[in-house]
Amino acid sequence: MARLLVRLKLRLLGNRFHQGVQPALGFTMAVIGGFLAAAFGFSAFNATVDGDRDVVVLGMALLWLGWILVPALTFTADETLDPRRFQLLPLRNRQLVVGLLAAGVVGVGGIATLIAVSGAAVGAGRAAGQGIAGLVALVVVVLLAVTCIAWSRAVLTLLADVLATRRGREIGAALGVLLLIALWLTPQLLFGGSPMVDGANLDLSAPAELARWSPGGLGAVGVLAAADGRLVLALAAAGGLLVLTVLALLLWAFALGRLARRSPARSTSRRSSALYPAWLAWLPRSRATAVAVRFLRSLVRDPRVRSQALGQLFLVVPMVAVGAPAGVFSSDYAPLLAAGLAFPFGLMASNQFALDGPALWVHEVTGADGHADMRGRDLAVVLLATPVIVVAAVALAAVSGGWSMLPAALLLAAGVLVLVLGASNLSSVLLPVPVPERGDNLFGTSASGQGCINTALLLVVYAVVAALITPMILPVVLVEPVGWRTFAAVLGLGYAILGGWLLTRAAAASLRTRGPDLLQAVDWRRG
Amino acid sequence: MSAEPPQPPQPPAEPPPPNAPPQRPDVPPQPPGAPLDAPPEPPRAAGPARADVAVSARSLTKRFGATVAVDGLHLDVPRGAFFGLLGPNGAGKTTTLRMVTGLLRPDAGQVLLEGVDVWEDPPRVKDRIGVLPEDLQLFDRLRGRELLTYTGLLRGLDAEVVEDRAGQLLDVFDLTSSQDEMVVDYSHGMRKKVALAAALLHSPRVLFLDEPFEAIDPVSGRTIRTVLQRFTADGGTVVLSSHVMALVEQLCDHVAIVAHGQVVDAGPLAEVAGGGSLEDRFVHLVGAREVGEGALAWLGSSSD
Ligand SMILES: Nc1ncnc2c1ncn2[C@@H]1O[C@H](COP(=O)(O)OP(=O)(O)O)[C@@H](O)[C@H]1O
Ligand SMILES: [Mg+2]
Repeated sequence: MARLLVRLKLRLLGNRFHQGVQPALGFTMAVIGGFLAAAFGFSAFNATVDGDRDVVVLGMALLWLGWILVPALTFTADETLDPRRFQLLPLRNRQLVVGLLAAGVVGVGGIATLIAVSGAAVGAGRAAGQGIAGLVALVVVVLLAVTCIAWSRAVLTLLADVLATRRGREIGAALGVLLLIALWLTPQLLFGGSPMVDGANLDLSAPAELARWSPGGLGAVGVLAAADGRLVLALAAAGGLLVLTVLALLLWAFALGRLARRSPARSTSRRSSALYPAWLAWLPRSRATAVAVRFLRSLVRDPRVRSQALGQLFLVVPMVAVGAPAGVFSSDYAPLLAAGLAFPFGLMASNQFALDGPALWVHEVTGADGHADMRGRDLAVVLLATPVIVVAAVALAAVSGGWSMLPAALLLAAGVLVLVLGASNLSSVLLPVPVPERGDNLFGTSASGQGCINTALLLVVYAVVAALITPMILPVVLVEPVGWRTFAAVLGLGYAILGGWLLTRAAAASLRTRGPDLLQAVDWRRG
Repeated sequence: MSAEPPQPPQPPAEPPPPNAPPQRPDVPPQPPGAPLDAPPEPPRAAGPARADVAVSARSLTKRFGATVAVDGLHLDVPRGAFFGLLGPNGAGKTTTLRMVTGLLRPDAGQVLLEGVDVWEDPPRVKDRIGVLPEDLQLFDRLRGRELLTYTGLLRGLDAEVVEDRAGQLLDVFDLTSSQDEMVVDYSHGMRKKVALAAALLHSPRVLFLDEPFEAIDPVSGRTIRTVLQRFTADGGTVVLSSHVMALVEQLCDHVAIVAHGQVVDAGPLAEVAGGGSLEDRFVHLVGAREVGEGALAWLGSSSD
């Protein structure tokens, strides 16, 4: 199978020369460009293996990232072999991906990558002074190149599968925004906001430390270990790359399978439990979880809801912009900052009823159970916030080394989330701000002006919430024997749960009598 | 909340228990709210709420600023009726239906649904009614099937029951092939059908439909009509609003004519029509002026 596909690929490449002047010229240019890049990469890796090792790590990490990002963003990979063309053949997906991977190596990009990284192997052999080390390094870099190609194809196929649907395109747009934010924040996080470019004295150690944990960085670790003569470590890295390659192939086969099932005339046999996405299929079926799932779905599918929610999350940007130059990301307290994320997440529920707009009558006509509805929306926020906060706290602990603060940070984050959600529940009932269909004007949403007044009052609510949170934060920051801080955070969480529960109860009680009035208030058409 | 509170046994004279097109195996037959000793002839307009009355509104009033949308309206809908709320645009039909279904708080007046005060015990009433509003604002970023699942779970129905009924309803309304499209991409007729399916999901006893046939193609219209006739045949009560005479004459057995927020006449169709056509009676009651001889004489004569 693999041999067949490689031959097919070579034949297709060769055919370029018989298809006219332009394809031939284009291919020649690609070969020349690839050769130049390969030569540059070869010499650069060769020179730095026993020189500035951070460059090797970063270079290989970027190589891997580039293999993923460039095809994903330009949406072109191997134009000679489109996996969809093989769908009609009776091939197992696993066979197909192995063959396609082999064919992928035989291409300008694949060969150029192989040449470039083998520079590192040569450098490693020279540095270690023994041929066997060079050989082991060669194994590592070949596996690195294969991993790059495998991941590139896997991600692209997965994207093609996801982007084939409208929902997928909307997710794609949202992820694009997040990616831009991430790219914007990365240098600030890595360099603590200090001006990073100081001519030649650019300190790459911190980013290299991070890059070491990427698949590309793993390849670099292997090569550098070989250069030091630590062959066991180098072989372990090679094993790691092999595992990563297999993972990519499995992912690729899975995505290919889904793509195949989708394309023939969009057969619409779905599992019976529509509404609940696969990753939430474990939720019990109830009013509350139905509301949670629908809220998550509307976040993804409804531009109106999405822009509101993203707008609230953007509160993080000024927080980071102020905090980064002050050096807070490198202090021991850095993990506590993750609790700051809980605030904007909690605010996502602060206008939960108005976000549903006039469709809220569907809830009202089924007999308002406001408590379940609020529990559901809060559950959605918790499902979203938890992974983000945990990852942020761990990342901040890793960057700053303040691991001892991690438990306190997570407890504090949970407390802030619970308390802000409680306040949001109440304000969403008492101070709804209508969200019009195509409204970009926050202050012109309601004919009666009530929306405008409510917006102003919400600022007061935010201030009150901030005041409510303070008694939780201060002990965690100030209590002196550091060991006591986690305990202070536990007490704070208790306080938050009590407060959040009381606030939500008040909100539900108010909702029981105010249902129809709320319906009027969130309907921007009736003002 | 699909279980009903225990109620007195059902007198033999009553129609069979209501049942929506999808069968409802989990709920016992629905007896009326109170014993019955009156003749089956439904009462006209005023009078105390009675057991053979599905919906009764007393002195219902709603103002919007200076506009009096509904002005002391009285209404009685007999149980099992196919009831038409007839009136010109702006007569107050939508406002009335929204108040009767617990979606809009009246300024004054009382609404009883099968003897239960709508504004005293909303959850109990909402379990028994299905609503199709005029403007059809739905959670339109859900797919058709997801919307039904969602509505069913909001109603507290069992997940399997919801899936089962949703499948049947989608089938009946010919929406199975578009169940995986988002409601936002549905045509107007498809939206009406999926909203009606959502209103039927919990097997209500009274259906309120605001302009159900407005802007509907004949095929969808026929489907909806068939489902509604089936619903009343099984003992359900339908209240629909419309300003299309022919349709009401064809479908309804009882009508109420609404003008300026009040019921100006109500009763069985034949009685209200009074031997003539319903349209003449309507125009007479609503008080539209006949176009005079000399008016608009220039119309159609200015070709040169
Ligand atoms: N939310 C509202 N705000 C202000 N006026 C309203 C509102 N809803 C209805 N109205 C007014 O009340 C009157 C009755 O409206 P409606 O009940 O929609 O009539 P129908 O449904 O019979 O056409 C109309 O004059 C309408 O303009
Ligand atoms: Mg109307």
